[in-house]
Amino acid sequence: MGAVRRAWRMSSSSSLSSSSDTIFALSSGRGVAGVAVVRISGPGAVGALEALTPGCRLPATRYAAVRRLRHQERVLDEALVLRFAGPASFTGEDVVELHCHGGPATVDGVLSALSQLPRLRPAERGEFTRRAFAAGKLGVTQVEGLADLLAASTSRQRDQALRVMDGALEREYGAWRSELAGIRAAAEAAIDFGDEMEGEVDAAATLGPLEARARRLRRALARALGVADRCQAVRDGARVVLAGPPNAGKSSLVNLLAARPAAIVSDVAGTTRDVLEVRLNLAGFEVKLYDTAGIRDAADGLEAEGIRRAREACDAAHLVCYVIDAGNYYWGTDFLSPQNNNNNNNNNKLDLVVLNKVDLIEDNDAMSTILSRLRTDLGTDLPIVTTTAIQPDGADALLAAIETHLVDRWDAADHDDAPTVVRERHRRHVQACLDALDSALLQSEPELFAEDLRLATLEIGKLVGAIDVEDVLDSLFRDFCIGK
Amino acid sequence: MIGHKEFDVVVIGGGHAGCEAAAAAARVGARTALVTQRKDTIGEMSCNPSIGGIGKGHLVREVDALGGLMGLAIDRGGIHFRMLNRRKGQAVWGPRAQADRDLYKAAIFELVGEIPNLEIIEDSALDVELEGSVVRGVRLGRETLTCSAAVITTGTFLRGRCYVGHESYEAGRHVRNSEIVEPPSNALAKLLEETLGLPLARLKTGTPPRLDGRTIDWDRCVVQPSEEPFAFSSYGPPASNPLIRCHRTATNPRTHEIVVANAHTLAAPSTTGVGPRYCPSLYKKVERFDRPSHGVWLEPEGLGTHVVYPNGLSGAFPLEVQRQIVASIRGLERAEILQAGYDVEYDFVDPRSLDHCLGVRAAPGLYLAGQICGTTGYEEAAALGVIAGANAGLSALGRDRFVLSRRDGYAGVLVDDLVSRGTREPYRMFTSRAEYRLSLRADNADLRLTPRAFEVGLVGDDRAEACARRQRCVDDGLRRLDRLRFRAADWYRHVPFAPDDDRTGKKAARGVVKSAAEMLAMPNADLASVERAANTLSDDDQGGVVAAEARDTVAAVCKYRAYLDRFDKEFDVYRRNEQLFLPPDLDYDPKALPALSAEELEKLRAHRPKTFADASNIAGITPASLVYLYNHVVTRTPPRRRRKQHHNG
Repeated sequence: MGAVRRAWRMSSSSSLSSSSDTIFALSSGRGVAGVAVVRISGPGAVGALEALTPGCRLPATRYAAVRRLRHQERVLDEALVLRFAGPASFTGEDVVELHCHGGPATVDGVLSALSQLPRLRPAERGEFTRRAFAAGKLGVTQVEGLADLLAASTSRQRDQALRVMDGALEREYGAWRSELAGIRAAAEAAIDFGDEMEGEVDAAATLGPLEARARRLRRALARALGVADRCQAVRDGARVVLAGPPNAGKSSLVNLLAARPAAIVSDVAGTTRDVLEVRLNLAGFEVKLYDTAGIRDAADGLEAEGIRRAREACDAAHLVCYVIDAGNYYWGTDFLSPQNNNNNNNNNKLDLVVLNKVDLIEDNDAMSTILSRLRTDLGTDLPIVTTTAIQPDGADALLAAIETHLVDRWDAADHDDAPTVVRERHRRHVQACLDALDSALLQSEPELFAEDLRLATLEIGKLVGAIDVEDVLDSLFRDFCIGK
Repeated sequence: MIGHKEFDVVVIGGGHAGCEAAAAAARVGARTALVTQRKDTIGEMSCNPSIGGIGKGHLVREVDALGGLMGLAIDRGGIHFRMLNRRKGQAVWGPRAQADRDLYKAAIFELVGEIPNLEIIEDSALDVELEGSVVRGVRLGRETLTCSAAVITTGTFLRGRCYVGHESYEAGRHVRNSEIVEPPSNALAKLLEETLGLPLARLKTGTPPRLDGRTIDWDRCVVQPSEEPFAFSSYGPPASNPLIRCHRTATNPRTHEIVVANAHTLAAPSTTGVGPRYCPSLYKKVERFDRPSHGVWLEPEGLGTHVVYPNGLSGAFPLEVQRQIVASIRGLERAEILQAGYDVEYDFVDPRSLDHCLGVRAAPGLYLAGQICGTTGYEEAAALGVIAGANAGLSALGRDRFVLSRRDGYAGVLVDDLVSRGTREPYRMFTSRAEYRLSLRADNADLRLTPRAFEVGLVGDDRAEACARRQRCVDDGLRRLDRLRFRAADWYRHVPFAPDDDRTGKKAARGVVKSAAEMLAMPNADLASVERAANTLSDDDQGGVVAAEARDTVAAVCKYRAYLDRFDKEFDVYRRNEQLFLPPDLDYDPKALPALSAEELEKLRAHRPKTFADASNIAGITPASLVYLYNHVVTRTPPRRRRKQHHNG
């Protein structure tokens, strides 16, 4: 075994990122830009700056200075340079930033000069962040927030990612974590010292107040799960599905909304056999708009598969818009018909009805007739919007309705602004933690109460990094006088 | 002459760790020498006169299951018994007994003497002789012993310094009931620090003054009688000594005033030294907790002695101040101090320099056990002694090592915590340190560990057979309890712990059938009532369903079954796949593996283990993390590809 491990260490040594290396990378985007930032981190960072700026004074830490960068007698660029001394830096190591001019030739010149310096190497993917994490500069969720920030394409995504990176989740989870450690410490104290502690603590008397604390914590977790939907929708995008009978013009609407030909459109019923996705930015939400296969009963094998996928998309959607052809009023007999919708026995919710191809309606009277018939069929006050794909602004009403829906749903005043459960991973662990607390609250024996708390702790640990039993003991020794 | 000087294993120190280490080494078949400064201190209880407690009692049972001495010795020397936590579930019961110091010591001396292959040598160990870094012998004051493995168990003697007030002197410990102090082991400290370059640091411990029981006003204290004696060893009878009574009194505001007013009379190590947090000195208690009173337990040190150990009063004040403190306490107003309380400050080796066998990584053949590894407590010392001694013996004989995991027992938890995480204070066992607490119980220590001990020769045929017999009784009892099935409503009419809430009542009304084993999982259930109910409900008399020697274990298994099954499932899946290959391109990145600590990720990146078994051998990777890593890899890689990798491997 030992030999195997040694062999591994040798064979992987080339890719092994020892933290004593000094790494560098272009930290801004590739391509022509005004400014390009090259970041250097590690024990040799300052040395590298000195090597590139021979004869120049080092700038004071955290003060920008203009320096001419040189390599082998050649001037590479005139750059703004910044120096951070570890541990007060992003990675916790010495960090140097070179804000160069953004042309590819300049950047390549600087990078190539750096790679020729001894003990400097290009950073691996994510290595700066990894070092920051290893130095305790970032918590797990902050690393996640950083990743989200780099991927953010809407203002809400950016805002949420910033708050996560700033430690919003770390603080929230941290508070849960220390409360959980505190409850556990009290339970463990009753177990490990119950019969030795001053005044002999009665297990039942100890568990009572602990259960109250556990219930409070449980409520906090439940509240967080309540807004999970919103936080996840912000991060992963709101899923909006256009469904409806074949040939209702769903694909044309999608094309119009996306202002580009994203879906194949033809006037043969059942053309769209897959689920197509178009991304929009509405009120700061990233909206994933799905065009689905027309839903009807008679369908060939391939089309049936498309319909199955359409139903799945509806199940997973935040918002289902049902599109019908105003000129060919037809609900179909399928699962999204108003009758089925009223049964309320599945997720096939209907949020919005889109009356499409209104250009085919001759006059206002005809329009009123159709609308009132539709209202009767629906039997609810579901919003109805009218659209036409033949005018450039023909789908604006739909856009506005989607936007209103998202804002109403996720922007309400009772939502605390702080993100709590951003990723599916978070939701899973918070839910599992909550389940463990529920189980703990049913226990009458302290060691089983503690066991469930331990499981709850593991789940929180998975959110923010492991909780050590020493945390529990620390809390125990802080709060309890152990006599004997 | 040469023949006398050749051994396989030499154990330095005759305390709890040393005796167990020497006994374990000899039992696995190594010719063993136990070197001690004074034969008459072998098996001495230097501090409190008791064995066991919560968590610690588990360790005693495990030491016994591994063929050790401590359980048998307390069964001979016990004079006051208490099962701590008896009102809680069985997993956290803590058997504790007070000993007559002389009986306990005599028992250890006798047990050590009965072991073939084991010789006691009274001399000072000056140095361990190395060839390169490999152990070749131990140099004593009068002779040199050759050996291929040595175990150092010098307790508080490593550069030990005792304190009473500001007065201090080099010593490892005071000899009981005398003015004699034992000299420290400074040469060994030098060997460990300078020759082997091991990181050493200081720890502190303290012991209270001893009182003359004839001068205590017992009537002014609360009496604490003993329970019926119970056995610590699975393989012998409980103690048959007369039982004593303990008493309880307490400090008061006047006591605390004296402590505060005399804080300046304490030496720096007594106030700022790193002592055991769970067992703070009186000064620490008064300093940290705003309470008017702290408990003091008066524990007689034996049957034929007047010496009393006032548990809770440690504090190395000058003797005069100790007198004032004692006299301020109810019942102790006229009590005389026979021996002053004192503190000891000593060196310990950062246990992260050891492997899971307790071998010094830098010196093959050298092992450490007991307080020298940073622990506190007789039971911790004994457990480490067994592991170190067994491995010293096995390595000297060229045999495979003996490692217990966190799943196997508290001994495994103890070793793993020490060698992978180190310690900043004297390490004490708590049940909360054991993540598999519900399965690592005192009642099943033998079933868990004796078969393992038998494999390496730590126990003989007789114990292995006794253990197998008990296992059969347990299996049989569980089978019978599973088969005894009646309608819940019927059960509830005949057991005293029937639930009264509606939900269960409704279930019962629907005619739900429950086995006796399921009944035992209910809150407050007990085996005897379930058996009685079963007998009433059966047509034929079931008699005692579960045999006497299996009752505790069977009851505990039924109670915790749901949790035990979950552990097993969780771990079995992992175990079955231990040889599964870790993808060589696995990214040990916090984003991908957020549940692992930065330290664990760093270790995994550095080692890049090839299989899960490899990963589990890296110090500091916890079982929970391994299971998490396993789940990560399984969900990340499609099954077909994994099988192929496995096959290719």
